[in-house]
Order: sequence, then C-alpha cells, then structure tokens
Amino acid sequence: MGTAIVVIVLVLIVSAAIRSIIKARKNGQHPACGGDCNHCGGGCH
Amino acid sequence: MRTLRDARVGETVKVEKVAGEGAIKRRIMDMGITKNVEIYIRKIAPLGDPVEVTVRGYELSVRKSDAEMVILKEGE
Amino acid sequence: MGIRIALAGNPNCGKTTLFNALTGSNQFVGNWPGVTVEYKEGKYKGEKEVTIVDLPGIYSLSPYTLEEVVSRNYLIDERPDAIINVIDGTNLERNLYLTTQIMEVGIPVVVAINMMDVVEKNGDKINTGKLSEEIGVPVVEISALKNKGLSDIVNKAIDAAKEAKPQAPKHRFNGSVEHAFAHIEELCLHDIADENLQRWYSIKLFERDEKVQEKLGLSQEVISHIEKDIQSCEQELDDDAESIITGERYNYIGTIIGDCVKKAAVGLSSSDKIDRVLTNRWLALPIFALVMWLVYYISVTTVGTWATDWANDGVFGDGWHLFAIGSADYNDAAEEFAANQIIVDGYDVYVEENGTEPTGDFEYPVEDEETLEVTYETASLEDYEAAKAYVESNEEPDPANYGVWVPGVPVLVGNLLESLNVNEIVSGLILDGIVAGVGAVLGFVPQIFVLFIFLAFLESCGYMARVAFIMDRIFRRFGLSGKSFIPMLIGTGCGIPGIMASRTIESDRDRKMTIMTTTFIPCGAKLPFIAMVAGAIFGGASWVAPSAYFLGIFAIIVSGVMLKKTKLFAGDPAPFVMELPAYHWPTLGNVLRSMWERGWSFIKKAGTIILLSTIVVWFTTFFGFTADGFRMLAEDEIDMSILASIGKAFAWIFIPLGFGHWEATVASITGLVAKENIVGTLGIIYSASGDVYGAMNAAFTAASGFAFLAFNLLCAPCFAAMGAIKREMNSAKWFWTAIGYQCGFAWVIGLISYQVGKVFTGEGFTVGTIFGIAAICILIYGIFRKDKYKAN
Repeated sequence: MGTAIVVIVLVLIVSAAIRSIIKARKNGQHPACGGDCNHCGGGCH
Repeated sequence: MRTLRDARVGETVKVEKVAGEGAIKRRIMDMGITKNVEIYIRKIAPLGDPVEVTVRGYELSVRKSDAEMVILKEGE
Repeated sequence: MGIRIALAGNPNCGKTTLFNALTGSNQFVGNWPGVTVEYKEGKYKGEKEVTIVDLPGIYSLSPYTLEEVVSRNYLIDERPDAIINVIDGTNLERNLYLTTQIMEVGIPVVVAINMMDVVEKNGDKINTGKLSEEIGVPVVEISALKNKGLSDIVNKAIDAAKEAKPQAPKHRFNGSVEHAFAHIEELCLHDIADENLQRWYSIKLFERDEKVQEKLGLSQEVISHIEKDIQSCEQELDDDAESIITGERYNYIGTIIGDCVKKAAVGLSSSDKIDRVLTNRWLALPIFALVMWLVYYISVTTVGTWATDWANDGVFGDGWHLFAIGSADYNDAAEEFAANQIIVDGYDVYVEENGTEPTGDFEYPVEDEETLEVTYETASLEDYEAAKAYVESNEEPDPANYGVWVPGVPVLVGNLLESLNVNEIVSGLILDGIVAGVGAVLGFVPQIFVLFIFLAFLESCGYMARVAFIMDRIFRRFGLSGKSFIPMLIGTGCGIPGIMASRTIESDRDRKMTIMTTTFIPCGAKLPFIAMVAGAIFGGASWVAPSAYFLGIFAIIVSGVMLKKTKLFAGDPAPFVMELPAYHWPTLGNVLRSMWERGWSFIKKAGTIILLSTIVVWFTTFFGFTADGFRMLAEDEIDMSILASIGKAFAWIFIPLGFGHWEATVASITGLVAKENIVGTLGIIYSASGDVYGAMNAAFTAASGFAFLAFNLLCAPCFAAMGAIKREMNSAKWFWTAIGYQCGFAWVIGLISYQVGKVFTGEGFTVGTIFGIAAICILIYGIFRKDKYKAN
C-alpha cells in the first residue's frame, strides 16, 4: 500500500518535471533556458 | 603619422580621422571618437595595455592595437 | 487596442531600473555595458493596455553587434507605437548620439533624462525646455531609482503613441549628403509601404549597410548606382560615408549641448578619486589580488564551505545542530569515541588474522574517510585496555543529545519510507538515486548564492569593468578576456559557479572560450581523487597534487592558444572599446534580485533535468544481469551492473592510455555524476581484496596511473557542471563542442602521459610511444601554426 502511494507520487513528480521541460520547449525555451535572457545565444530556436 | 597609440599619459590630443573599416572602426566612432574630437589620455593599465581615455565627458578603455586606428592631428 | 512602448538607450543609462519601476517585473540591473541582449516585455503597472518592451542597451544602431541588430530589427519590423529614449543625464553627449538615430526610424519618440539627481549633485544644469525645442521631441526629467517623473514620461509616450505622428528629425546633414539621400530615395525607396521609414533606409543605404541592402532586395544594378552617389559625396567631403554620418551626428550634438548644458567647474568627482586608487599603476594589481582573495576566501573557503558542508552533510546528510549549538561538543565526543573504537576493532582484527591475542604492541589499520587511504598505527596492550574500558563505559554519542538536532532530508525521507513500508527497490531509487543525486547538486546552492552576491556587487558597482581593464593584457593572448580570471579562480572551488560567473564576460567568443576551459582547473571535488591516486599509485608522492593544478593551467593556456586559431573562434577579434562606467553604490534590491535570478535558474535545473538523469544513473548502477537473472544488485555487486557492462563495452577506448579495464572506465563514468564518486566507485570495485590501495597499485603502473588522473581531471566535468555549461552556452551545438573538446583533449593528454611516460618509468619504448610523440607534435603544431583566420 505504502509502496503504491510512493510510486504514484514519484510518477507525478517525474511527469511534472518532464512536462515542464516540454512546456518550456514549446514556449521556445530550451531546457537549458532559465528565462534569463542575458547573453542568450538564441541556440534554443 | 601619429596615432592614439603614441600619445602619452596626461596629453590631450585631437583626432584627424579613424582609419580602417568594418565593425571595429564603426565601434570606435560610435563611442564618440570622430574627426576633431579632443581626447585626454588618462592612464595606461598596470600591465601596459589597454589605455584609458576621456572622450566626450566619459571614460573609455581602448586596446593599443585598436588605438592604432585613430590618427591624430599633427602639432597640436 | 493595446499600445506598445519600447525602451531604448545606452548601456548603464538606468533603462533596466526604469523598466523594473514601470512594470514591477524582475530583471537584473548591472553597471556593466551590455547586460541585456534579448528584449523583455512587461505590462505597465495598473494599465493592461500598455505593454513596455525593454530593448538591449546599445550605443548605436549599426549592423555590427548582436544587441544592435536585435534592437533595430525590433524597431523596424515590429513597429512599436512609441519609443521612450532613456538618456543618462551625466553623459548627454554620447547618449544623444543614439537619440539622433532613433529619431530617424519614424516612430514617435519621447526622451527621458535619467539620473537628474546626480546631475544636480554635480552642479551641472540641463535646460530641458531648450533641449526639447532643439531636437523636436518631448523631454522629461526622471529618476528611475527614486521613482520621479515616471508617470509623466509614460503619459507623454502614450499621448505620442495615440497621436501616431512621428516627428521628422530636425537634424539635417551636409547639403551634398542630403542630396545623395534624395537620389537614393528616388531610386529605390519611393514605393516602400511605410513612408516613415524612407529617411532611415536612405541613411542606411548611404552607409553601405549590407543588412539593409539585403532586406530591401536591391538589385546589383541599383546598388552600383547608389555607390556612384556615395562616392561622389565621399570625394567632395574627403572622408568615407560612415565617418561622414557619424562625424556630422556628433557635430550636431555638440551644438545642442553648447546651447542647453551648463557644466559646473570641472573638479575630480568621487568616482575619479576612487578610480585613481583602484587602477593606479602600482596599486591596481595588489588591490585586485586582495579583492579576488576576499571573494575566494569568503565564497569558497569560509562561508561557502560552511554553507556547502551544512547543505551536504546536514540538510542532505545525517542532520545538523540548530544554530550549530552543541555541534562542537558532539564532534569532540564522537571523535574520542571513534578513536577508542578503532583500537578495539584493531585488536579484534589482529585476533582474527593471527588466531591468538597479541602479547605486546600490535598494529591496527586506520582508514581515511575521504581518500580511503589506510595507514597503520601501533597500540600497546595498555592502550587497548583503556580503549576497551572507554567503549564499554560510554555509549556511542548521539547527536540528538547535544543541542537541537535537526535530521537531514535523507533521514526524514528514509524514516517516512520505512514507516510506509515501502518496497526496497522504490526506497533505494528515492534515497540512493534521487535524494542523493539531487541533494548533491542542491548542496552547492548556498555557495552559489554567496558567490552571486559578490559578482552582482562587483558588477553593479563598476569594478568588474576595471577587472577587464587590469587583466586584459594577459588573458587576451589565450583568446580569453580579462574577466576570465574570476571564473577560473572560482572554479578551483567548484566548476558550477565558475562557469556561471563567466556571464559577466560580454564578448561572445571570450565567454565561450572561458566556459570551455574553466573546468580544467581541479575543483574541490577532484581533490580526494587526486589524493587517492597520489597515495595508491605514487606512494604518497608530494608532487602529484601540484602537478594537477599545473596540468589544469597548462590545459587552459594550450587550449586557448589552439582554439583561438580554429574555425570555431575565427573572425575579426571583438573590439575591446569599452566604457568604464562611473563607480556607484549599488542598491541592495538590485544585488539581491540578481543573486536570486541566477541562483533560481540553477535550482530549477536540479528539479528537472538533473532529477531525471539521477534516476537513469541509479538504475544502471544498481541493476544488472546476474546468474539468477535481471535483478537489483547489492552495493558490492557493481561488477554485474548495467554500468559495468557499459564500462566493459567502452574500456577499449582507454587501451592506448594504459587503463583499458572496465574498473577504471566505470569509475570515470560515475565521475560524471560527481567527481568525488570516482573514489567511492574505485573503493567498492577494489574492496574485494580488502586492500583498495594495494589493488589499485597492482592495476596501474606509474604511467597509466598518471594518464588515468590526467584524463579524469580534464575530461567532461560532472553532470551539474555540464548542466551549467549547457545553460551558459545556450546552444546544443556549442554544448557538445565543449564536452567533445574536453574529452578529446583529455584523451590526448592521457595518451601522451602514458605512452611517453612509459619511456621514463622504464617500461620501454614501444610503437605506442611513437603515437605519443606524434600527439605532442600535433599539439605543438596547433599552438604555433599560423592563424589563417586572422585579418591582419
């Protein structure tokens, strides 16, 4: 039972991490982009 | 032909023209080093390069190799 | 309908401070030319209809730098409704130069004179009414820092945008230049869609701006026709087109300044006085050394180490004492107990090995926690009796009995998982994989924050520009910038903040070169590994550790000189014509905001990409095919893991370097997670024999051992540092170039170390030695060959 809860939480966290990377990508951001545009080489496009 | 490279610290010089072409020349001119402007040589960096000058009321740091492109008026 | 207002102005004119004040958005303000490259947007406070766009700080609208191109493309292609041109009142002359160009793009302009408080303090007077009259646009005095005149300037900009009637620039060039403009307009600009842009295009075509020629799609015939007009004008004025335009702009500004500005008597400003000392011929270098030592001492050795130890051993370790109360007492007690325990254990080991009890003095092993080095000490029977009595009468000290003990995250998570009765595979993943991996990376966060406070301060107060001024001469030779010194110094502590510190370097090429070479310097995590190699393979020779630093410095210099001449870094050198901004005291808010923004992006990364990679690494380390099928492995079964299989598959790469066995390969791979892992992995792999150092000594010769050391010091850094490289390069291509170069260079140095080293260590001259010598020749060629991309 405990295992199931922990696995579900883990899957949620991991999918949230993946989703945030994908979302950032769709917004034209690279996973390497922290939104700080100083010296952005534009390599993300 | 005397260039900004040859100017001594403490000297005030007048620019004849900027030689060369392209990005470096344009950048030097954009920063206010144009014909007839007066430049005061403030100091040289501790290791001998670059040079700090006062031009149009502010401080500018120029490498000696770039300063060579700035040709000065003679005898002033 | 929404209104878009663009903010344009020189670097350091306070434009970003104004942007923050108007929008409440978070953005860094630095006293450093070129802090923003991309523009940023924000809604004007309280009015959703009004969008404010922050353009990069620029000196001109020339086509030569990225910032300038970004800004002018925005103005020409996106056509904002109005432009607020921010001007530094203390430096009107150079700032108005940009104004003359902005007024030509055919968009309503209002001018904001910033830093009026400083102007008044200096005793200067600016007649804004007269200025407004002369240049033909509204002029407003503001102080972005003190929130003065802000609503006034925005309202004027909104009014101008609504009216939508751009003022024609009042400035006219020399008659023959205007004549050439007229010709150009007639020839190719009479039918362009937006007639407000006509003047802009004709000036740019006169300047032979290739980007504009391309954009308008002019035929070769038209271009050569224009060329004739330009040349006749150049002949008449005896100068080239660009010089004519620039010179005339500044002459025009000169007349305006004469009418509108009254300068107080020139004396030494306080900024001048500070600068006299800080960049003094004799004092500059000692002061620089002192400043660097302070930054290093505080952010790496003292506060940084406390913070990192607290984060690594406390928050992501067993736990810590609140406010460190009781910590010292506990450490004393624990140390004393451990010292006694070790004698008792040593006695038992003796009995086990010899079958009898020692009759007199006996030796017992002591293992160093960090380097796994085993030394032997001698104890007498009296020592043993005393130790035994101590261990029996005292219990092992419990940290919870001293002060307020806060357990670490792994302990809390472990307890939670245990109480939930979680499957051991899942708890292994969470504890050994995620918490350990992400924790190791997050452990650097406090140190990074401490460092970024310093960097932000040095940047905004104006000293960073002087660092470049002082150090430029040395670093330029290696294709680096004067400011590369800071990343490399910081890199001796940890490569991650080192790489991140590189962003204070404004030239793109210098910055990339710095990022590629910073991690060659041995960081703190590599020290246990260096000590291990020195102890196990070189019998504790004292030259090994210094040689690691020399190797790092050598790698930076050689790489700098070689890479400078390659196609990657080809092209005209970036001009080092840099403004030295006046010193000023930065506001606390700006420094903290800068620290937070930079640190936060690092934390975010630990939560996403690093989280995912730790899961993968954990899986490959703890799973493998055994005699009884695919299953989870115990810690000492690493030789059956997927990682070991990968190591076996790639071990051949290191045969020429003398350590083509899977053990060394796997250690190098786990070193990618964190360099201190190399020690741990080797410890596990070689522990079967009971003597890690002895087993390592047998596995490596002096030559192959040094090759192993050299390769692991120079190859790709740990994942967290690679993440920082990726983040700072901001380009997949450059990221892989950097990693590939580092690994390739490390391999070549390893090859030379082994193949040439063999000759000196008495292993003889072999075919491989010829390859080693050939590699040296290639390096020498790379250093001394002619730079064919150099313009002159």
